[in-house]
Amino acid sequence: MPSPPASPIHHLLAIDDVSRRFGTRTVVNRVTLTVEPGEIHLIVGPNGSGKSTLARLGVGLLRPHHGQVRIDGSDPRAVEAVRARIGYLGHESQLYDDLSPLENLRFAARLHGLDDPDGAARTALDLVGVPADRPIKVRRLSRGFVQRVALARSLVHRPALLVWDEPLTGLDAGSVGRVIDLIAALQGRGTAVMLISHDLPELWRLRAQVQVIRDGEVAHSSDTSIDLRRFRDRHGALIS
Amino acid sequence: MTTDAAGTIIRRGMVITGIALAALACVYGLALFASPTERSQGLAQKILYIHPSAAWASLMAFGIVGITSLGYLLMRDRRLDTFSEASAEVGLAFGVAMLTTGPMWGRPVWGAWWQWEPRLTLTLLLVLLFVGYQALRTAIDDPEERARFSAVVGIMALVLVPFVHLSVYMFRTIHPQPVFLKPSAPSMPWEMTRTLLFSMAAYTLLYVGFVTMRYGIGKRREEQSA
Amino acid sequence: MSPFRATLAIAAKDIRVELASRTAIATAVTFAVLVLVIFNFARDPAEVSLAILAPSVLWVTSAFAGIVTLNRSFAMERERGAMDGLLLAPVSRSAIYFGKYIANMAFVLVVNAVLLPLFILFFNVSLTGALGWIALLLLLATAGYVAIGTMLAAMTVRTRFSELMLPVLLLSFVVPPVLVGVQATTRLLGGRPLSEIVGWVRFLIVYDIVFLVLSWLLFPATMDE
Repeated sequence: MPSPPASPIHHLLAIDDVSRRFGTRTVVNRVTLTVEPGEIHLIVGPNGSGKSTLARLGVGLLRPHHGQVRIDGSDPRAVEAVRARIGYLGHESQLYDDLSPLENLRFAARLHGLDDPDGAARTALDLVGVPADRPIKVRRLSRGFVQRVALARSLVHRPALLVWDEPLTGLDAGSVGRVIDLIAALQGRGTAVMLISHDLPELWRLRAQVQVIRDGEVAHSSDTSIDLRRFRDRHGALIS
Repeated sequence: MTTDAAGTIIRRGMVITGIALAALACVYGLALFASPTERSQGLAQKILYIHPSAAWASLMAFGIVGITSLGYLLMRDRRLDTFSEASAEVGLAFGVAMLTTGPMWGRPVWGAWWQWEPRLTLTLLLVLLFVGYQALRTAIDDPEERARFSAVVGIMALVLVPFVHLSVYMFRTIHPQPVFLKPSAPSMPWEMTRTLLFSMAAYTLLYVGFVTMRYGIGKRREEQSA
Repeated sequence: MSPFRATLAIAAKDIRVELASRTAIATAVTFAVLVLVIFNFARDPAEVSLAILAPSVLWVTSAFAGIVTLNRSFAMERERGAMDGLLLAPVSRSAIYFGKYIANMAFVLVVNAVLLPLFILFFNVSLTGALGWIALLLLLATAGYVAIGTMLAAMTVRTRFSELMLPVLLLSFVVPPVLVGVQATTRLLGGRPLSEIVGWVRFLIVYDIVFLVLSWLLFPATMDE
């Protein structure tokens, strides 16, 4: 996919003063965050601090009550084309239980209007080490396998921005290493990644910015160049 | 701070309801003592001063839900949702009044408790649909989602009305035809028409009173959940 | 991506899922047969002849079986959050709606296609000449309430008691087409001239257009989280 000419004033992802309530509870409170190509943003914070809601706001799945979200300068809720720039994986796999991994990814590729859905699906499965030709329903896969297929699904259209919420859930140690290598490789190609995770020791080897979220606000910004032990000493109470 | 906006609205609704109930008492006074008793139907005809007015108030309430629902989807103003909820509930109450008084008249005059007559069927279906509307509201936790989903149903219900009416009308019709909202001159004695119009006005006012109270209660619930 | 291709991709996916699981159609067909059987025994054969009851049986069975299949339409998008994937794809909400609508129509029409011969068989009706017209009436009636049901199912799947909520909301909308269908079928089976059902057919067409457009316009509001 040819990347659109990036106008210098447009950030890849711009979350600008965004708030969101559920009922009367404010879950995300006036958060501002920009993500540029090749950046990794690690979002950490205790359970219920609003990280997942922030991710869903950032990709346009939730309507902000205040502020705005822009991807390449456009509102992903309004402009269809810009949604192709996003690869999102939340807590659920977005897969159909009765289809095989390959069928699931082919459908995702077709939704994105790719010329060669089959090829794109196979390439993405290969990235996460899932054999493409096993005709097995997703329903019968183990949790770790489902997670890998789900990661592949979010990559199938080669998005410029990945938003992954707990991507390492259910993966064994080998797969975790593989996914982190993959993130580093994607970063090298200029892909931006917003990661929500609690697995700090594994992720600390990435070159990333770190945002600590507490009560729906960015409480602290840092990066992975500082020692993890020092980071934890300072923020341990905030990070479950 | 002791400004109680919801309480003020509820009290205002009680005042309006009080006036409406007084007016209703006058209506029934007129109905029993100052309006002629219809020859063939006898006293059963006195239902004329309850049943059509309740039907009118009910259909008006549901119609207003349709309009405020559309307003909600366009403007996303939470007050419109609170109002829709109030109007739907009051509409249900009037609808039940209409559906229970109908058979009381139908039995002596038609010889049957129930007839599948267009307006009766329409009201029954709307009442059932709005029972579904209330069920939907209670089955959703997020207030914004609840407002959106119920607004969709409110609009759909409004559009359904002419289709139900027309289809049942094509099916058959044995209800007494509208007696004064028709092109020719009213065929009722003026005393009856007067009392009926008065009754409809009283029910309209009663609707306003009920809805105001119910809206205030809705407001108070929102405040308490905050 | 062209909206037309996106619509077809979504419809094709729904059909592929159905072929792989065979839950909706198989369940709905079984359900339809059971309703036919129950109707047959829920009458006194000495009092009510099959011929009198037949049109009602056909229409009630068709409507109920249709509603049963609709429940699944958005349940499959909800189970593992697949709806997120649809909403984040560069396709319009209209493409999602019409993709779902086409797939639902396909399922309900398959159920009707199985139901109609069984109905003729069980209820011993001779359809001479009327079969085409009855099929057309079923198609027209289905087109309208499936349009509404597709939109409503997108909402009810997100509520508690979702499988009950859909019929409670949808059945009121099914009354006009079923009423019209029964009237027209009765006349067709009674050998009445076609001119008598033209009005009913026209009614169904208007109903379909109005509710398809309205459901399509309201659908984005059901997705706007």
